Amino acid sequence: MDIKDIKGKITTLSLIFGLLFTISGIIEITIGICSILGFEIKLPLFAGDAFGGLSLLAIGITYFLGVKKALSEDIRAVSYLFTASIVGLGIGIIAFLLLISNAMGFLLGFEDWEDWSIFSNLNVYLILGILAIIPYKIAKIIQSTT
Amino acid sequence: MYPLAFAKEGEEVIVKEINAGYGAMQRLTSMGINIGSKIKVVRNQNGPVIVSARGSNIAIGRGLAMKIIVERENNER
Amino acid sequence: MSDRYEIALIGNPNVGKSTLFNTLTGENVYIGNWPGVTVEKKEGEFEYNGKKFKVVDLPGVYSLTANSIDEIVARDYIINEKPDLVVDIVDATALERNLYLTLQLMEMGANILLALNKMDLARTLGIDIDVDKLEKILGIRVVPISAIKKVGIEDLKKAISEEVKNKRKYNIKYPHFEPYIKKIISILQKDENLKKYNLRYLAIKLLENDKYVEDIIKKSKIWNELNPVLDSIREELSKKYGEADLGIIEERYKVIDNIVKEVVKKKSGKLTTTQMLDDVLTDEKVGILLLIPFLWMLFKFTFDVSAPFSAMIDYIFSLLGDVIKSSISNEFIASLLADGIIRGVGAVLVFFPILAFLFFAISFLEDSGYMARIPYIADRFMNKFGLPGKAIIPLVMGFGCNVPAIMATRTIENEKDRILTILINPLMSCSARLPIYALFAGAFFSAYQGLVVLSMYALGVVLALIIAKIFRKFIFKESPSYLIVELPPYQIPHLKVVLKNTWERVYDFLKKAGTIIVFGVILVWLLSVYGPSGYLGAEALTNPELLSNSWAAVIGKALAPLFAPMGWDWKACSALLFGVIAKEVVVGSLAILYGVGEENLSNIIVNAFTPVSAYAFMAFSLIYLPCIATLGVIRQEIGWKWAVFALAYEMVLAYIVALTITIIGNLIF
Ligand SMILES: Nc1nc2c(ncn2[C@@H]2O[C@H](COP(=O)(O)OP(=O)(O)OP(=O)(O)O)[C@@H](O)[C@H]2O)c(=O)[nH]1
Ligand SMILES: [Mg+2]
Repeated sequence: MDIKDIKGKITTLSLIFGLLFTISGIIEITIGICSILGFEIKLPLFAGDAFGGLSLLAIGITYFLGVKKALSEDIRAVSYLFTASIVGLGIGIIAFLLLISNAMGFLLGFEDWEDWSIFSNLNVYLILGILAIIPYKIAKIIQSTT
Repeated sequence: MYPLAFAKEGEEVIVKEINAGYGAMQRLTSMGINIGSKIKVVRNQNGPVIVSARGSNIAIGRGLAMKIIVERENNER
Repeated sequence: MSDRYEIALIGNPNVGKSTLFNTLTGENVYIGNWPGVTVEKKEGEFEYNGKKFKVVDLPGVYSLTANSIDEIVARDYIINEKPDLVVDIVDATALERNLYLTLQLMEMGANILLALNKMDLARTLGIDIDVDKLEKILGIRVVPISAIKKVGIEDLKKAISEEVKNKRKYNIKYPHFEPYIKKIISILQKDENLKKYNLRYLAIKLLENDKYVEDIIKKSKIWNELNPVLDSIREELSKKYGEADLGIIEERYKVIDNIVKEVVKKKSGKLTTTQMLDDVLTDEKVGILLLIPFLWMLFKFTFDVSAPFSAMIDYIFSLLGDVIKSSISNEFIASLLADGIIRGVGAVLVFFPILAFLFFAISFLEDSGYMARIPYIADRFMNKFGLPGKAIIPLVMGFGCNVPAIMATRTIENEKDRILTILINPLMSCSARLPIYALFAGAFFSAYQGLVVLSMYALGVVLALIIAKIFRKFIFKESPSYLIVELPPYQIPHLKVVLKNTWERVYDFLKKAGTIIVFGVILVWLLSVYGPSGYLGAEALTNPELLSNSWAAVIGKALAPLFAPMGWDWKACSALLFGVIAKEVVVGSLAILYGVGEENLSNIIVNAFTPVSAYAFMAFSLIYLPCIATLGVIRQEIGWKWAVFALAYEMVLAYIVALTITIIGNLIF
């Protein structure tokens, strides 16, 4: 398939996911830094983990680089879409494992999990991670047609 | 003819000379990079060069890539 | 010995030799998707039709001209041990390159069978190989298999059992070289002592300037006759090929090109997953940027996902201690079991889930193929510190355990590079040190626990790089050798392989916990309940006054003045000393000496240390002395002299760093 035919699709997809990851990453980093400085900010879906936020940001940037490649009609735009989505998916899987393991700690009644609730693990990592399946699948389809 | 380190990404080249020591030379040739073989430059930024030779990808340190002299393929024809 | 045969598995790196070895023998050797996983030979056995076969798994080699230790191991085995059958494992997806070694094996006159592995992958990539034709051209048996999917294994076993007896004669001729080969053989024939070698092989190797073979011949009486002949042939070849040894190489590839043209059909490829991932992951900037999410995942998985399992073990051990104390009436035995073994070993085993998850994560990365890219990504950076790019793999493996990590340096060709990489390896914080950090970070810096633990790892890495730079400058005065490394395709890690690999390492840890660590904590317990005045009674562990008359106190107090500037009490000092046995014992000893189980240990050490002295203690534990096992392997790999050197520099470095932290810390806080 020629890059020209799919340029629009790749650009839109990369742009949407780039924005999602970048914005979430920046918010997460901000909350994280504030809590280190001593201001607690509570926002639903955000955990305030600066390192994690940085990770989301890095993935967001990778999507944006894909946009750049797509605009210059470089077939490698697919590669960026694909790789960013795989890493995003990885983050989602880790977030899911965390949810399971925390639930386990809670159910077994250990001290450290006394005030855990499922909502503390339904966060951006899990949601963005699951959503990353969409661009991953689409990139796979594009790959099979090259 | 120019060193492999100066080749562009995506270029297909033919190896003309390998001016490395015995060890590096043996290693390269046994991995499929010998004089006369056709290799494709997959990645060439500031670090090692990645080439595709006989179906596998091989990373070659930049210093060594300076000692491998290549020629662009279509010049041959 | 009619029904016992020895067969060797040989092939290029990463073709699946160890996978096949495990499938054939039911053993469990380490597998990973990067070249250089196996660095020493491993032996196993299987039976077929009542016959016994001893199987030897060898490190991967690209040719029989060896450069690095792992390659020398493989080559020496093939040349000197003369197995009944050499099973040459060939990667069906890279036949062209793999056949180079096959030709060399044939030159040697070894009895060969070709196992064409990764047929499943070849099929997905649209590579079609005409097995019958290949068999006919080479004149040796070819069996297509898939080691990981266990396809074709029965056929292979059958073929092996037939071929061990079948000493085939095959002939690969190099048209342009036959006259020279004949001439050299005619001279070699005159020495009876050389009859044990294959003369054709010696002749070809001489034309190739092989140092190893040349040294063998130099000792022969025919050397004086041969030398001038060889010189004139080499001169002739140099005129034709530029360099004498290049001639024979070119000749081999010509033969291979012809074979490949005949037997391999390849559908022109679409974009592969490996290409897509490498477009991004090997990019200078993005590749490094994406290390951030990878590291985040690694840490979350290792520390957070494993947490409830640690809590579980903690719970079980404290329960066990209580049960023993209340049910065994003999005070001596009850205390030995509960205060000594259960408490000491328990304090270590609480961290066992963290290690298991770390091992799983590392194996996962290894089998995915990402690990193989790390030398490439790191090469330029490592060179700045005088290290070769390949040094990164032993360094990363050092986070697991320094012992296999030091073995892994065998793939580094240059001896100086290798010594340097070994010397700095103990600075990579192995998993045995993790319990120490986890304990102190949890007690003193609970809000930033992860960050503090991470800072220890970072400290180790930074020190390793600085030390490397210094040693390179003053001891090994040449620049590191060049990177040449193959980047295998990515694959979805095989869960079975990852679990097996993890289990292998976990098992080693459990074995260590059951032997060395138990021994260590018993020793500490004994030294605590006995003193110069005799048996003090089990109360010594709860009564500080009694305890201060124990042997442990005598030893600790003797060391204490040395560490007085850091503000550590004698208990901490003796714990450090016992840590020489294995670093896990530090935590075990602290638990015994402060007289508490793991759970309350953090509450007690909060009083015994200040945050600054605790941080200095963590840093000191990171750097001082490699454990006994690590020292042993350093000695085995590069000799006593270097082992002593490593020990000395680390002691000095540890002291300096701990003192610096104390001074700076006290200035700030
Ligand atoms: N697709 C596929 N992959 C395989 C097969 N056999 C092995 N592999 C994979 O190939 C990789 C290398 O396997 P190893 O058995 O460690 O290779 P090795 O030849 O022992 O490698 P070195 O010890 O480094 O020389 C692993 O990731 C395996 O999972 C196979 O039949 N098919
Ligand atoms: Mg192996």
